[in-house]
Amino acid sequence: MSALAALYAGYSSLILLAGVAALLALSVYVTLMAGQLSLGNAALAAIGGYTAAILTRDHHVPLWPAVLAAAAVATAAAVAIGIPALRLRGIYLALATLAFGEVVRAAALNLKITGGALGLINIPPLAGFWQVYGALAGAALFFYRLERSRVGRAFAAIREDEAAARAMGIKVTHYKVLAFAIAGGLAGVAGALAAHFAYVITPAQASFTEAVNILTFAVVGGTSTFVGPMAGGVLLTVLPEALRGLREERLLLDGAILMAVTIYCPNGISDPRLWRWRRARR
Amino acid sequence: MLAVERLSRHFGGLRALEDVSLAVRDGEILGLIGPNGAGKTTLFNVVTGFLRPTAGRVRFRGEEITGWPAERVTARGIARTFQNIRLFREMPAVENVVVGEHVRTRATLLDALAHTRTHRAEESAGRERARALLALVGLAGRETTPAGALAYGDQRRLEIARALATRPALLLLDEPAAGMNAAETEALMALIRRLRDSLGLTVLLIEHDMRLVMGVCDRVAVLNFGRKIAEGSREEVRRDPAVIDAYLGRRAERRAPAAQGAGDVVLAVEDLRAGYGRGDVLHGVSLEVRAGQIATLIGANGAGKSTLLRTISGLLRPRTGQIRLGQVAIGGAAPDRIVGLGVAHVPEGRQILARLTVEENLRAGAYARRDRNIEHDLAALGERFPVLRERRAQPAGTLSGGEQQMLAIARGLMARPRLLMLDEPSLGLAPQFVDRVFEVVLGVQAGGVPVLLVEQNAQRALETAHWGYVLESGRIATQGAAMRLLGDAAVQRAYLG
Repeated sequence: MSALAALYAGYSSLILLAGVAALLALSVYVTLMAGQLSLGNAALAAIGGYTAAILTRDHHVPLWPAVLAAAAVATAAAVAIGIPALRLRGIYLALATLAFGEVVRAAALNLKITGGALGLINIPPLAGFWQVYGALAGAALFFYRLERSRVGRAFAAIREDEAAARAMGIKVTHYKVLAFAIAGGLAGVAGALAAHFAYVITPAQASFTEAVNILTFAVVGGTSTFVGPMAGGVLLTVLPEALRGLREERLLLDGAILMAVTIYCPNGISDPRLWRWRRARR
Repeated sequence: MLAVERLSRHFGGLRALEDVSLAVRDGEILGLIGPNGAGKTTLFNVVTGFLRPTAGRVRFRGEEITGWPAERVTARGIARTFQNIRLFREMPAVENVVVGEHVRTRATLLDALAHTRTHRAEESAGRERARALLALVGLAGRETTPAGALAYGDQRRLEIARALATRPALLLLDEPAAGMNAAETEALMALIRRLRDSLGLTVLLIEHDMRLVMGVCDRVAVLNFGRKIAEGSREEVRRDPAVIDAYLGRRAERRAPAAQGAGDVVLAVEDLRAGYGRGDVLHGVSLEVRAGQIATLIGANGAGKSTLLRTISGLLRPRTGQIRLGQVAIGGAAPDRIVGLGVAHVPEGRQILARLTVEENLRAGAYARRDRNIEHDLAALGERFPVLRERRAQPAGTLSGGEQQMLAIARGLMARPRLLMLDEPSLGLAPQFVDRVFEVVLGVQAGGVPVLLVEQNAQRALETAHWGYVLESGRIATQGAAMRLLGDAAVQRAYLG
């Protein structure tokens, strides 16, 4: 136990970041479950982060009420962009959600309440291991149940063939908006928690790079079950740190690993076939 | 049950449906027939809410449902299958059926999260019911197979099971027998009768297989160019001169195929094994196609016919065995090299490039060629297929099913092949078009290109071919002169119905 405590003392911010990355990866995974590619999740997380930070820092609201409020605001934002954006398909939807991210970033840069380019600093340090990993455990249970339910099957049906899903009586728009709402809630929670162990939040939280990172977590981890995005989020947060000794070559190696994963395990590192194959060879 | 009143649907200048009225009575099986492009599927799409009508009304059990969205139509009790199978391919078969129960179940996300009684009861009852439906359509034992991995005929049956799971009062079947052999069609007919007799369903079905239409339908309606040209009992429709002209066609005099081709061996396959994943689909197949010959390969769905063609054309690597084209061993070579050597493969489902124009499709067929005669060949094919010349600037996806098949064959010929392989060329075609396809096959052979033909329509295939092979579970069970197989009692029982 003391070894674990020492590990946590040395790497606490990395461990917390990994948990948040897993949450964010799940938030992009839920829309992928319903076949929708959204690149707005970084912005939704930023909305959650700013909301919660303002509440705890300026109004002394306790952590969990602030997190819930953050989730609510991010969900509302996700639904608000989801309803018009869901008329779009595939790459157009991705572009629209990306543009939404830019709008959020520009707003955060220019509004007084978000602190402009510097962002908000001195956010109270309220989130630690139990808060972050408690939320992640809750999310994992949520997805475990979701994937084995009528709603989860409706998502999968929409992903595979929208017309056939409609012929089965599935209200496609309803479920797409639901997926967006869940994504908003999760991203809001993730953003709110991150702000309370990083102590700062800046407009960069809503940047394009961040949006792509989140998508990468899910794709590298694999999107056949919820385990994949979680594994991807943790791995891709820890890996760059583990490679820190390599300095400049680190980014190169990072990229190379990404390419290797997408080429050699297109279904992600959590692909069950991959693991079965390994066992069979032994 | 269903009343369609003066329904029209136009696409730009095309009148896909024009002033069609049709009534489906309670508890009857009504057949809807007509040439490819007559508007049959468009009618289904309008009734089920996938398309809005340009004019006219649709009533279901007295209630007007015109313009309702598809999911609402399904909830009210109309289920359908799709002509170009639309299963959830990655999901296991049983999951596909469980999705069908969506509209008759109530569990919400919160139920699932809290694992409430509603959720648990619906999950177990739903799975139970799904298994029963799979058994009903003859798919017991295939529950966990991903839908996309099932044989073509099995996929059609799975679509029916999935549609039944929505608990419809009216079932619309779009070419349920396409891709099935005679024995499977027989079983399907029994199933359709049972749906009506014991489940009390009303059925409206589109079908080109006249044996099925005449075997199960109480009444038949005929569409041509978007208009209804006849409606009545089977006998009335069969004798109607307008229907015969538009659709059934007069059965061409049976031409005895040209003398048995005893030319050189063009394609030789020896002891071929191939398959997907762990198991073999082909267990040591040997066959040959000679110059001037039409050879046909018949057999049940899942026997390995398409797998054999895919292995010959290099899409699938053989595990063991030899494939030779003339003197050249091509087993295991890359598909582009095999095409370059002269094997043209027209796959099942045609696989034309829908967004490219007809001409671009044809030019794509000549991709592996380096000679200067491409323009000449293009002109020659235009003579042979006037329809394609007429439509050369049109996107290929806008052609009717029959025209697409012509295009796929013409595209294969653009490669100036030494061997043409056709996979189910008559699939989903009206009888009139089926005749044309077989004429084209004879024309190809007369033009000096031997043909390897895979067909579900074993009768026509054997009538057209010189030599026949019967494939059973990945092995050649019988072979012989096509005329002899046509008269063979065992073959007749199994494949000719």
